[in-house]
Amino acid sequence: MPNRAALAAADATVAEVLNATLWCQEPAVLVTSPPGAGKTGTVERVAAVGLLELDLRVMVAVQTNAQVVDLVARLARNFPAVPVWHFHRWNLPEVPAPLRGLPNVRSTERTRDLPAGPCVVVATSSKWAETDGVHFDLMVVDEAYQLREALYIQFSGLADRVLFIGDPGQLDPFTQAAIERWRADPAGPHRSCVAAFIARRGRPRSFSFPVSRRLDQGSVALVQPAFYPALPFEAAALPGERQLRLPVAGIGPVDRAVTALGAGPWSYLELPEAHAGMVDDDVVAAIAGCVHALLDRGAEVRDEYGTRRLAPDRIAVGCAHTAQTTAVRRRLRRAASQVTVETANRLQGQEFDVTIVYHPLAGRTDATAFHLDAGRLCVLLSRHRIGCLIVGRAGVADLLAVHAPAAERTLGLDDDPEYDGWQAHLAVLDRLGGAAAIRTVRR
Amino acid sequence: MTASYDTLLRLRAWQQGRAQVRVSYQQVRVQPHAMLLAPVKMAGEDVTIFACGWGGRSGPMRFDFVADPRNRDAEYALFGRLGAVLARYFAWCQAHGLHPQVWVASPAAVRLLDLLADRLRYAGSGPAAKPAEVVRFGEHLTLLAQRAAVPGNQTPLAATEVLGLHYATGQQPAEDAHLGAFLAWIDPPPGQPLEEAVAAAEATPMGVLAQPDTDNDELAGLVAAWNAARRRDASPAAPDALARPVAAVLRTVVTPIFDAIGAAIDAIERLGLPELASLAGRVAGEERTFAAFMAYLDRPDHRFALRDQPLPAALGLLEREAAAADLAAELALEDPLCRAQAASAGAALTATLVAHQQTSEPSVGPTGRRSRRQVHTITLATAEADGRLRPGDTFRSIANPGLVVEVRDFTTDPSEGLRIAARVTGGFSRPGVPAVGTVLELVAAVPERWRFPQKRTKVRTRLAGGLPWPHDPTQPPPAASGRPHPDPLAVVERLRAAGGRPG
Repeated sequence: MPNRAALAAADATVAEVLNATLWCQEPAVLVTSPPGAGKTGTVERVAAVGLLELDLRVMVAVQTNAQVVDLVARLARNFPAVPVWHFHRWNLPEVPAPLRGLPNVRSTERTRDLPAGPCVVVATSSKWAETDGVHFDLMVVDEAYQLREALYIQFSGLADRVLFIGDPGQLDPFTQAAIERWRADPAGPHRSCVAAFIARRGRPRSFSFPVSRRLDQGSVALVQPAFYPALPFEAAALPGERQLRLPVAGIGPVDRAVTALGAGPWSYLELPEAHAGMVDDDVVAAIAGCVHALLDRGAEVRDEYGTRRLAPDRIAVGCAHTAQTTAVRRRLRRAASQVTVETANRLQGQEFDVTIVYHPLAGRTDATAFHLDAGRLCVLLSRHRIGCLIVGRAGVADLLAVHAPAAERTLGLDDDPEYDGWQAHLAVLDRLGGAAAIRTVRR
Repeated sequence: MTASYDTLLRLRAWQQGRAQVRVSYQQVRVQPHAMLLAPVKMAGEDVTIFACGWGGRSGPMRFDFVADPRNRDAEYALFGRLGAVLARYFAWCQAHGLHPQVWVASPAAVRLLDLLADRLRYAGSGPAAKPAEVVRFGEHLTLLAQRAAVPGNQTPLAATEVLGLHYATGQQPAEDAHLGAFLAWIDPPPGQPLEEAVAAAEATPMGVLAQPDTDNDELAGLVAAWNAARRRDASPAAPDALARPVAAVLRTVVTPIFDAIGAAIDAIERLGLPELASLAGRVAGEERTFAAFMAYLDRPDHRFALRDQPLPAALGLLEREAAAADLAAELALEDPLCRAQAASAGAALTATLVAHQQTSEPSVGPTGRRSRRQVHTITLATAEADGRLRPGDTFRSIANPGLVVEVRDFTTDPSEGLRIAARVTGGFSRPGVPAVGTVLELVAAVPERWRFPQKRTKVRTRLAGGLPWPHDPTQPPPAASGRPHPDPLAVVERLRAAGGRPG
């Protein structure tokens, strides 16, 4: 029995977004969303209603090829009456597997193939930036907080009106280029298109989703205050509605941490303090051990859809560095090859039943802006529906104490992701550490 | 820089007590007409010049100074003289179709030139108006400021950074920022422990400031005396006489910096490395950029924005990112040692093709046409134990850039190292999949220096009629119109249930 009041509030928000965007024709609408609130579903509804009810030309800009395929497939299945155009890169060798056999999907790389009348066209922002000679009534920008102003300006003129929709708690756009010249410009080219739009034109008509369908209440109790202090939301799942069951008993410190996921959404496995560099073999081994324990012990998931075996492709391991993902992947057995092992950047927008997180500060001797980034930790701790197991090392609190943010504030900018991240790390540690942590000796 | 490879080189340098060469090719073309520039500012005055040494690679250092840069007239007079020097140098380069190449000691000096450009290039008005020669000095410095942010640039060059491209020391990267210490690692003095030599070198300032002791014990009193004389005595002779001791002290600060820049250039040339193949293209690009800048400066309506408009800002960021990507690709492609660094970052791979399987699979093309396509799956073996691979990573063959492979999976075999399952996604017909046993040198990207200029032209053309309204607050947005629907969710459910219609 889900939290019906919360879901009703979410539906009301969707109705308001549809009205503002489609019937009232606001020039710009902003929808902010916590993790797993139904952003993609809202994009689907706006596109389908815009086309079928109001005869609009709708373009949708998403940020990765995988997101394009996912959105096109969902839109085509959920709204069989909507012909969806999959507008892809040049020389795509074949139609992606999820789109094959969908009768209402059309794929093309050429602008001239697109219809002159009402339509829904989905492409990456990079593809739209290469596109000329078409114009739309409405542009929907999905994951808008990840779209940089420098890219958005290249195609923002393709439509009259715009709907930005995204999660403000995730990773900001990233560049390794020197940005000193624009650092103090709140509408600089390195900023997200939402931040730049607000800096130039003020806040557009805005809505927030009040509910997360992905996270349960125990997860929301940690994630919301730590990462979304200005965006109150609750869980669609009621306490006890989702559970991880482990029919086979396990022994040993890693198994204790895995077993703890049966009692709630969080488990923190804390290895002894050590300075181990970027790739910590002990942490890597513990993460692989946790994955294997979940599979060997026949973990089952119970949620609003029923009870089922936890499949490897519903498990993800999240890390801060690529080198860590490689090390973890090399430790996994062949039976675990379907487990997703990725960095936070690539986990954005994805959802799993169980995630295992390599704590960004585990084994480090310093805490840089990269490792303190609130968005990175937020992504890592908000991909799960059932449970999240964090593997770290003792000493993180001391590390945070001696690496307080340098307080290098930029004139004209109020936000400080490094300080926010430092605070978020403390909040998470406070919630997970102490008595709740499962401490272990070296393997 | 990849941490593991960099750390390895630094450990080796520490073990051997001497900097290690980290590249096989020279990364920067040292121009015969290069100008060495050693500016020093007054403590507490962030955007000014107290004294400056300059000169060519041969010949003596030229020197100029101001007795107190807080005196605006005196400071502007110095800027005017230095501006004339830089203008003559730029004019000479322009006349010879070359680009200027200004060498400074450290990134701190580059930063000072950047700040000076920002301060000086705007004329101002009224009592605060700057002389034309000062404004022109700021405009010329603007070229250096703009180019400093573009990776692979040939001017301005900070000697510590160029040394860092070619050598690895056995100290912390932050300690490499001192030019004297870096040079001590390259040429350790005989008969002296290296640590002592480095410590001794660090006692000489190499940034843009004098030592605090020099400021407090020598310069403070001399500058105060000059100011007192200036206020007391209308005759210019007395202040001039009191300025000379200031100059003498400043010369002792500037001269070692100037000499160290020359020593850094010598250290790079002494390696005798051949030039990176792509360097000629970067030099030509620098020449084109300089020529375009000077042509723009000659236009009477030229102006430099205090704050970039949205489009120049976007293009500026894209240019820097494209230059960084191209430079990284060129280094991995052309220099084996740089490729080793790239390998530990997952941007390059050397592996032996140990198996090749060709199968025929049903396929649906983007047009919907069904066919069968040939799928080439290969297995690569590599002993590289520290790679950073992810499924989905793609690599191109250096020998045949048309050959593209995509990593599908990898496993570790205790006896054989890393085994990578990959699919050939490009070039399997031509040049064709190499024979089993072939050693493949693979890189993650190839340089595409043509791409950004093409993109810039396209975007400028697209936006020639004006910026779209989201980026231009002066434009009104489209008006909202219409009335809310009483039950939009009912519409959604009705449409969700509707059957398909022709596309």
